[in-house]
Amino acid sequence: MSLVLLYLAGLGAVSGRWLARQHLAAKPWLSAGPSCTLPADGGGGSAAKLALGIFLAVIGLLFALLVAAYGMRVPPGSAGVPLDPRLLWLTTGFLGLASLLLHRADRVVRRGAEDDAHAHLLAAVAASLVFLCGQGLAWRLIGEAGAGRTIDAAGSFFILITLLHGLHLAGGLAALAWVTFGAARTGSPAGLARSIGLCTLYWDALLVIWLVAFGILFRTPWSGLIDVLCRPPA
Amino acid sequence: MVDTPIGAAGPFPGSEPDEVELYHPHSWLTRYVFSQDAKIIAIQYSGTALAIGFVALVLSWLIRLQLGFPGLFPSIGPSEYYQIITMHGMIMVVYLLTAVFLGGFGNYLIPLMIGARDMVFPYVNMLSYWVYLLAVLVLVASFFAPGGPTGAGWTLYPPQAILSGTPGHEWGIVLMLASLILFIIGFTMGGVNYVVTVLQARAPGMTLMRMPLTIWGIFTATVLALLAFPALFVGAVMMLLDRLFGTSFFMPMIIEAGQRLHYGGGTPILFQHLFWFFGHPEVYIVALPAFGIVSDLISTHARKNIFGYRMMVWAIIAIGGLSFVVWAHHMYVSGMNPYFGFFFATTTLIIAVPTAIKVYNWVLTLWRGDIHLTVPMLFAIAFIVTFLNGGLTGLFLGNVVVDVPLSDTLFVVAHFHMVMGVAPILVIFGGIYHWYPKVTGRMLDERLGLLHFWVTFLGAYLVFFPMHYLGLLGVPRRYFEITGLGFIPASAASLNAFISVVAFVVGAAQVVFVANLIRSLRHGVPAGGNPWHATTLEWQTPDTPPRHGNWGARLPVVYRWPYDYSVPGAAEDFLPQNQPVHAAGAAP
Repeated sequence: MSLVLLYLAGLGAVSGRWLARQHLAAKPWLSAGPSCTLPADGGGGSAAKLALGIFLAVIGLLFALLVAAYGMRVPPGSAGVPLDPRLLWLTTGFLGLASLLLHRADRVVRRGAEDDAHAHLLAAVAASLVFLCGQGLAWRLIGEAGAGRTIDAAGSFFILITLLHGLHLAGGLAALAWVTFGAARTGSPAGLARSIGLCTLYWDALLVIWLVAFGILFRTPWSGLIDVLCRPPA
Repeated sequence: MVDTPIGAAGPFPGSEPDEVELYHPHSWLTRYVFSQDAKIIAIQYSGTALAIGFVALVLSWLIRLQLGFPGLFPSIGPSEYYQIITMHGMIMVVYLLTAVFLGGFGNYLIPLMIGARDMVFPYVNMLSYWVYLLAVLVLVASFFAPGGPTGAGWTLYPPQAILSGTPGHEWGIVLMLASLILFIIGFTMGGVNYVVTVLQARAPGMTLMRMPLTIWGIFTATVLALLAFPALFVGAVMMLLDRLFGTSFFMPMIIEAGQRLHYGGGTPILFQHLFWFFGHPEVYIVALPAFGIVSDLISTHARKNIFGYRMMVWAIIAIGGLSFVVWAHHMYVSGMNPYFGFFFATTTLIIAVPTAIKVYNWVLTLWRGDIHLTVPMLFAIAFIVTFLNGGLTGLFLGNVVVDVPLSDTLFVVAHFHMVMGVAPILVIFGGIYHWYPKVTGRMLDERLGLLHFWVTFLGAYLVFFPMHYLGLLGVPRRYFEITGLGFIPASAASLNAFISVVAFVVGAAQVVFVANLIRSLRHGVPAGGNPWHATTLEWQTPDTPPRHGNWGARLPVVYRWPYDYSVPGAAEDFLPQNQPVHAAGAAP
């Protein structure tokens, strides 16, 4: 559970930093009168962005728990997921591309080029769909190999983690599709920029979560670090 | 006291996020059924939770029937007994307590107490309730499923939870896990809403350090729940896959009835970690809102400012943080590295420090207060005593060497019922007696309330105090029938029968409460806007019950903290939070 505790410590540090600016040492019984510091001290930014941030923190914890569970359940000498990782590298590329396209859309919509942004959004939807299809193909290959129910459970974890990540992505895709085909055509430019900003944040989180999951399920350059964080000490 | 001149602070910023508009209902259906008004959603949450809570109460009667009078009711066999205790525990902890405190009190009180018109995302808030209702219905469906509900115990420990020897292993466990997954999805929708509303939609002047402790408690508990429930979600999904698709996340190699099952390599301890990583914060998910509510009840009904407000806030935050590093004290008997046992015993003792601070502060708030022994106040005081008792036995159990021999006895049952069952339920009752006048515009009948209080309070002690003694005698918990154990004296059976009779009486007293709720809707004394002369914003609404949008044309402006009671020189013994400084009479 070290990874989970580290994740919580990170959240705690962010929360602590925020709380430190909230005048928690104030003596409210001594200070009757209005205060003009509100609600800006509560955050002041977009409620939707804050809500998304909190939601992503919760989702991040969920995946941290899954990765920690993998570390506790799958033995260190496991053969791992019986799948050629090149397929996953390819799908990872498409997810990264989707994230980049959304960043690009975010930038161009702020410059007022809504048509350009729309094209980038369409491309991001397509790249995300390719990623999902690639994951589907991987599930099929693992299912055919009968690796979903192995004793060391690496295949089971692959199915579970990618399934939940896929659902997470599908939820985001529904929102992105609404932005692409709805808000991009009918909404105000400011509203569109805000929506694209939220989608960009969401896809960044999707990419980070996937990279961590990929790192524990397969050997990647960052797998050693994840192993250190989520394997119980021998 | 330092006064800030009115107007010196300049114009107030608006308190509602620009991008969120208040939804206005257009029909009866959207006003009262698919309502997006947090107050209606709160009533829906509370009604559903109390209804399923009464099912759990009836189940507790069945448990007591069997324990007090074994063999007298042949329809309760071992399988049924395990199904009953499982459903009783899970319903009470998750579907009643969590739902009432966060879904019920949270929805009603957050917008009103911080001066908002509604939750920031009303539509998501509405969805949250309907997903919760679906979770409850799926859970209830397991009573009627082939094989009945699961009898795995409320902790649902694998491997036995999904093996054929456990009642309800066919559909019961599947429906239980599905219901929990739904509950968590629904809660997350609501929880994100509560947090964002507290952070973004407070009225002008409502700094964090001017928030009532009720809101601090609900807010922190919501953060805890958002971070604790994912562990249960992960555990539930993995066990569902083990059960339905034959994976082996938690299932070791097992030989059942001479046949080797297809499972292998799984680790049941992993589930225990996941479960208790949720399970211990769950104690505080329930306790923190209770702490907050009790603080407000005591201050209001003792006509005195809360003692050590800042300490109370810091203690809530500290308890919230520490609650994530004590989970393994529930797993001492599972075996662990002794250094880990030492670590978790130490953190368990440390968490008692901020909790004790709160108890001291409640007592010091009462000290020399103008105590009105109203029904809500009685329930609040009863909570302090009960939580203290339950907390002290928790200190025993937090130590490895004490926990190991007591872990499988009724001592544990008595401990967690005092701290996690009776104590928060006393607060729920206190809260309902306190805020019912705001919700309905009428007072609850006081005589019926007193009857309800005394029977419930004394009865709960008559049930659970002797149970500690039974536990010390070594009477095991989870046993269907306690016979043939030579080390248990025959008098233990008599005590068990006594406990059962009292439990029936306490259960029956809840009918008085329900009758009072219904009767007072029409025949209660009109309450007016602020019958308790309280300071917090919910009592300052232009209408009682508050209308949709809560505040009429203008949001309130907050000028002071929520505990200005009996301020020397003030015209009245309370100064509402939205009362301007110059209108408060002599300088407070």
